[in-house]
Amino acid sequence: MFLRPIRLRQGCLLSLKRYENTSAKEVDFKTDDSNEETLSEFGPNIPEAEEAMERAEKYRNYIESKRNVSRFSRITAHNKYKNTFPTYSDPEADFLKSDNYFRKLYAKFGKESGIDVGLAWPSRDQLQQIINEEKEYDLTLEQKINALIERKSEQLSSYEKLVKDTDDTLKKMPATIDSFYQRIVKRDKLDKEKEAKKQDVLDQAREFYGYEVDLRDPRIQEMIKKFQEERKVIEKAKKKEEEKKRAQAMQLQQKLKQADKILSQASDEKNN
Amino acid sequence: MASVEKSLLMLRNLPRVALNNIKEFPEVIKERKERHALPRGKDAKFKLGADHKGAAQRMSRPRLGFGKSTPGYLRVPKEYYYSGHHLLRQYLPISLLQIQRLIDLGRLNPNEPIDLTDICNTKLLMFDPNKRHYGFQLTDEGADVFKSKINIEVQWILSELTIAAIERNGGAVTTKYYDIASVHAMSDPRKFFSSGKPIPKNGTPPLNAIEYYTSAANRGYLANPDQIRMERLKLAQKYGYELPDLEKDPLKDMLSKRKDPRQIWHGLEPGWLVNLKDEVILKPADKEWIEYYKS
Amino acid sequence: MASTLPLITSRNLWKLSPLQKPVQSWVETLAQVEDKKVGLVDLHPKIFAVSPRLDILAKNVYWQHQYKKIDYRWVPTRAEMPGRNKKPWQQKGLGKARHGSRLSPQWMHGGVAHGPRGPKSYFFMEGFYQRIAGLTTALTVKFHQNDLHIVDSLDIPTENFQYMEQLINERFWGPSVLFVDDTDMMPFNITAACSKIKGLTLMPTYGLNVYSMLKHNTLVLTTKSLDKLEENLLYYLHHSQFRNSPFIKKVA
Repeated sequence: MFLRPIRLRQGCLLSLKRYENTSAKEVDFKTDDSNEETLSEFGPNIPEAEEAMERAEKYRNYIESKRNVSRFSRITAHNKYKNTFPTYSDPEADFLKSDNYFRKLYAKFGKESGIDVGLAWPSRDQLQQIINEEKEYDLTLEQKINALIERKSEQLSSYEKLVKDTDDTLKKMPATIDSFYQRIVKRDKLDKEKEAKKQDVLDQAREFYGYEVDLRDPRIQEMIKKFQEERKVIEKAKKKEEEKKRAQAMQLQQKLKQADKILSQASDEKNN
Repeated sequence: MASVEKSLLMLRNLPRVALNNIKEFPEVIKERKERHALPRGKDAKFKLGADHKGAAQRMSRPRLGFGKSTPGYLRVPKEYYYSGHHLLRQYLPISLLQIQRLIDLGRLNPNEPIDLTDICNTKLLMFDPNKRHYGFQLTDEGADVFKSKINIEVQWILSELTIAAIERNGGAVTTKYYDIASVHAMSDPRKFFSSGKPIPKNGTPPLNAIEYYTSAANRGYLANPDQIRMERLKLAQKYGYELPDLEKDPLKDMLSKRKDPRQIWHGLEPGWLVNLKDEVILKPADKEWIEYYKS
Repeated sequence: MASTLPLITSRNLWKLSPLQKPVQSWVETLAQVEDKKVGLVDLHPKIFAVSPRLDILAKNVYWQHQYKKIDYRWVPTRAEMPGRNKKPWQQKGLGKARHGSRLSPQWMHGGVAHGPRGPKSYFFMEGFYQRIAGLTTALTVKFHQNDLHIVDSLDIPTENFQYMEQLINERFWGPSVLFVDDTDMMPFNITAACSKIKGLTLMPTYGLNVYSMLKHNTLVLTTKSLDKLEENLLYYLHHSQFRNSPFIKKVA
């Protein structure tokens, strides 16, 4: 495996010419110091030597620039990869001045970074703020457990109340059942009376007209009203009579009572 | 002779492997071609499934949900049983069988207390605190096969079979609640230490979880230790095994390690700053800060 | 000269199980043109004796080529062409075809209908463990085809390019050689020599990649870079902290 034809840069033709006609074995590979010794024979004022010195310097600088083999195009990326302390600064960037950024730098680089360690903890004002917020928004463990106890006791008491109420109502059950049935009976009675009244009116109308009649007709309602008014008059008269009778009964009762009293008083006097 | 050695011996006699010698499997090449190829046939006209003429071709269809009489946002009913689902706590299930397997394969160490960090460091479960994962819950699959003695700390246990299976082998279980900030720290301690913040103080459980963590039947961390002993006896009688005596155990110290309610990691207290570069722990010295972190 | 050279014999290999036997390689020097061995070292089998999956190498080469690729072609549609969108002639009466604009795709110099639209990136990341497998297979392939040489350091006595030329011809190292060291700043002499010869490249360990290894005929590693390489690769292979990070294919 042999090397392919070499393409050289123009600036290095001088060094080639020195070794053009020699073979490999004859060449003496001396170190850089030997080259410097040969060049120092010439004085600094001679132009050829100056040009040679300049060319050598340029060549040296050119190779020095090539020594960095990392192929990173930006210094920031290189620093980040190698985890060296960052050197960038931007006056408009707020993040580079914030507490969080300094905390991360200290965590990464330690004491060497020269950052104040106290920034990691909250400042005095921030601490107070945190404590106040906790008091306002959080409950302590004791309060939470007390809330639990209260909830449980409420549940218990409401359950006990329920049990008590059911016991009481169960005792009253027979009475409620009886009253229920009585109410039904009463209601039926009232319904029947109403129906009977209605039937009376219908019967009267039928007698008057000679055929069955619907109460909702407007021609008939006037007649029905008259019947009802007649009946009402009759009922009122009845009521008045009843009231009179009642009043008379009351008066009689009062008189009887008075009489009883007098009699009793008299008997007492007699006895005494 | 192993196949790898055989193939490497073959390589010695074959020409040099270079960029013009290697090729991928034909299935991969075919798949790649199909993925990057222009559409052919019906799809060559770039119609994207639209018909000829009409609203579809002229790109004047109504947006998603509209077009019918009632639009989509009115059609879909609202069910009130899932209200607040986006705020609920979630616990990732991990079974006893999985834990036994991890111990057998060497991913979990049974000679140290097992914690949320230990299970997260195996990286075999997709644990994400940003999705309101507050920890792990133990399920009872593999209770018959479980045979290792461990001190495990979990966030929720539903069935008492799991507790019985662990205690029958002489182990210890506790359930502990962790705040979301401390869960973030525990799930990725390397990332947390690189942020440079002091260790956070764990919070108390919310109101709907206090009952769980104060009851001894669930081995809560706020429960009475006497009651826990009673429950251990109860379980042993219920499931029919003899309770091993932990006081005569050589690993007694490890099994009886419990954390403070505000503590996150064994041996580290809240308020301390851990620096991995200098390998140093820094503690606060002022009164107010010490009081706050110890409260 | 051979008797005064130091001998390198031992190396600590990490995470080696008793069933795995290490592979061995010579250690050489660049201090003289002749081929003189300076030692014999062990290499880890998980990196230098891996099953030679050439399709993984092809995958990595494809990835290296594609992920940096950006296609900057952009061609305007009929709506983005400069000029007015006027109807060229009336619809009816002239006997000509009916047209609405001179910029539609059927016209010459009109907009393109389905052309390339803007910068398009072909970025994707091959799986983390696929990339590691690529590096390990490339190293095994180089080793087993006698194209891997380990060297104690990249120090050369002169900056003369003919020294390098002779050295490479003597040792049959091929027209292209890849020198890998642990540092970014290479010594002066070897940079001077390699800048004049085409085919020689200098690289730090973090720049090692499959494409460069296959493109160059031989690989020359220093012992320092070997140590660093093994340390890093074995760490990534044995630690589970990279499982759920981005750019990893999720395996059940």
